[in-house]
Formats: sequence, structure tokens, C-alpha cells
Amino acid sequence: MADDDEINRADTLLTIRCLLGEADAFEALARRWAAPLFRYLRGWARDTDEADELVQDVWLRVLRGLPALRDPYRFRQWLFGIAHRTAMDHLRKRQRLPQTREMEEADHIAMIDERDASADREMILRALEQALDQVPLTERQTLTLFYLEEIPIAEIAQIQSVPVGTVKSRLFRGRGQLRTLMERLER
Amino acid sequence: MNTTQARVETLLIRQGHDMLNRPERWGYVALLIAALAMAATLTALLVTETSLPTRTMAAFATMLVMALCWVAHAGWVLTHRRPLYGRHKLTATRLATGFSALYTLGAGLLWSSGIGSGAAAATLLGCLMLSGATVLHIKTRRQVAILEKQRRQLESAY
Repeated sequence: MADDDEINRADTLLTIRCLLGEADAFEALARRWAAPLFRYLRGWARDTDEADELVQDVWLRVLRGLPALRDPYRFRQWLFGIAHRTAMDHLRKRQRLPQTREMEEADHIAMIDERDASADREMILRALEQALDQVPLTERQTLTLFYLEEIPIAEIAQIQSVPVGTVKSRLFRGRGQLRTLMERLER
Repeated sequence: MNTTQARVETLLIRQGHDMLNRPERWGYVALLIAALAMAATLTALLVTETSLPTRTMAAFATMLVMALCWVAHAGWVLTHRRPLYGRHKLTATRLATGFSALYTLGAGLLWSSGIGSGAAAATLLGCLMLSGATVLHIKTRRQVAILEKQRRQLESAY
């Protein structure tokens, strides 16, 4: 928890330095967020080149929109919100898919038990590395934000513009799919 | 650090460098100020020199439209494409305040010495530009001060 606070403080400080216009802060900001952004956007792209393009598109929007960011404490949420919207635009353009697939169908699924979530964390972190590419897109993005970026559920809901319950059901579904994949891998 | 991460970092750093270090942004600041001054002068001429031939008035009106288009274009670039960040904005509003003060002073001197019938209107327009630039400057200073304060608070927490 203390580490999280420390990281959040460092991130906010970096954002403030960028808002002030310090050139070297932009380099540090790019170093800080390149990997998380790539990890989040990789799943939306067909190959690495497309993922690179997507990351650059997001970063361009970030650089152009940053002066309008009123609250530097909300940078992470704002950043992933842009990443999510950019990726959705990209996906719609590419595949002309409807806005959502079967994503809303399981909104009624029961709330996630927090103890269950923490017990599964270790297993999920291991499984994510190997099996994430095989999990459907929506669940994959939600799992990435929750387990790899450690973003709270309420914040993910704002990033993805869906209710908290939807995020929980996506996590529930995603964890189930990962469990199945893990079992297959173990066999 | 793996190669993918290093490659993506390089791409993003280059993007930031292109956005911040190229001189185009300051060119657009200069364009905005020059276009505003031109628009103010032409408006003053159109308002005060009513005895000019129609074709001259039409030419001035066309030039005014052009100046306003340049103002809109430079404003759009500076807010949407190559935005100015805190301290850059502070420099830009300082420049705008300085130049509009110079313009107003010049027009005011002409008005007080009785040279040029359009000097009064030019002074008035100069005052309007100066007020706008001053308001923007004060607003930007406040925003930068808030950011500096937040920065100090965070740094002192270490």
C-alpha cells in the first residue's frame, strides 16, 4: 500500500512537470507508460506493427490533450480512457464490428468475492503471461487493467465507460476462462 | 528491459520531442499576434476612414477576413494540434501582452498628437486586445501557480 502511494505520487509529480512544460519530464512520462500502454493495446492489434501504430496514436492524443487535463491526480484514468477509446475507434474502423459483442450478456453474474480475487491473483498473474492472448478481447483488457496495471474496479469502469457490475462480470468471466486455459496447459 | 519495451519507449519519446522541440509552435504564436495586430489595424481603418473609395474599402475588408482566418487557424493549431503547456503558455501570454501594449501605446501617441484620424479607434482596439491578453496572462499565471504549489507539496512529501 505504501509502495502504491509512492508510485501514485511519483506519477502525479511527473504529470505536473509535463503540464508545466518541462521537456525532460515528457521523456520520463514516455518511459513510465510505454510498457503498460503497449501491454494494454497489444491485444487490440493483429501484429506488433499495428500495436506500435495504436500506441503512437494514443500518445499523440495524450500530448495534444494534456494541457486540458485539469486534475493531474487522475492522469492514469485519463490515459487509459484515451487508450480505450482509441482502441475502440480502431477496432470499429478495422472490422466494422458492432460496439459490443456478447459483453453485456453476463452482467447479472454475481459480484466478485474479494477474498476469491486475492487468492486467485498469484495464479492469474502466472496464467496471464501465457494465456492472455487466448482470452476474448473484452475480458483480456479488463484483466490486464485489474491484475497487471492494478487499477481499481471503479476506475476501470470509468475508463471503459461501463457500470462497475459489468467490469466485475468481465473479471469473473475472464478468470474462469483463464482457469480453464491453465488447466489445459497443466494437462 | 526487453526490446519491445525499448522500441515503444523510443517511439513515444520521439513523438514528445517532435511535439515540444520543433520551432513551429512559436511560429504559430508569432502568426497569431501578427494576425491579431493586422485585424485590429484594418478594423480601425474600416471604422474611421469612411471616405475611402469603395474598392479600397472592399480590399481592406478582404484583408480583414484573411487576417481573421489566420487568427482562427493559429488559435486552432495552438489549442488542438501543437498545444502550449504551462510555462510555454505563460511566455506566449507575456508576448501577447507586451506586443498589444506596444501597439496601444503607439496608437495612443498618434491619437494624442492629433496625427491620423483612425488613431482613436486603433487605441480603443489596442485597449481591447491588451485587456484580453492581460486576462489570459493572469489566468495562465494562476494555473501555473497551482501546478507549482502541487509540485512543491508532492516533492516535500518525499
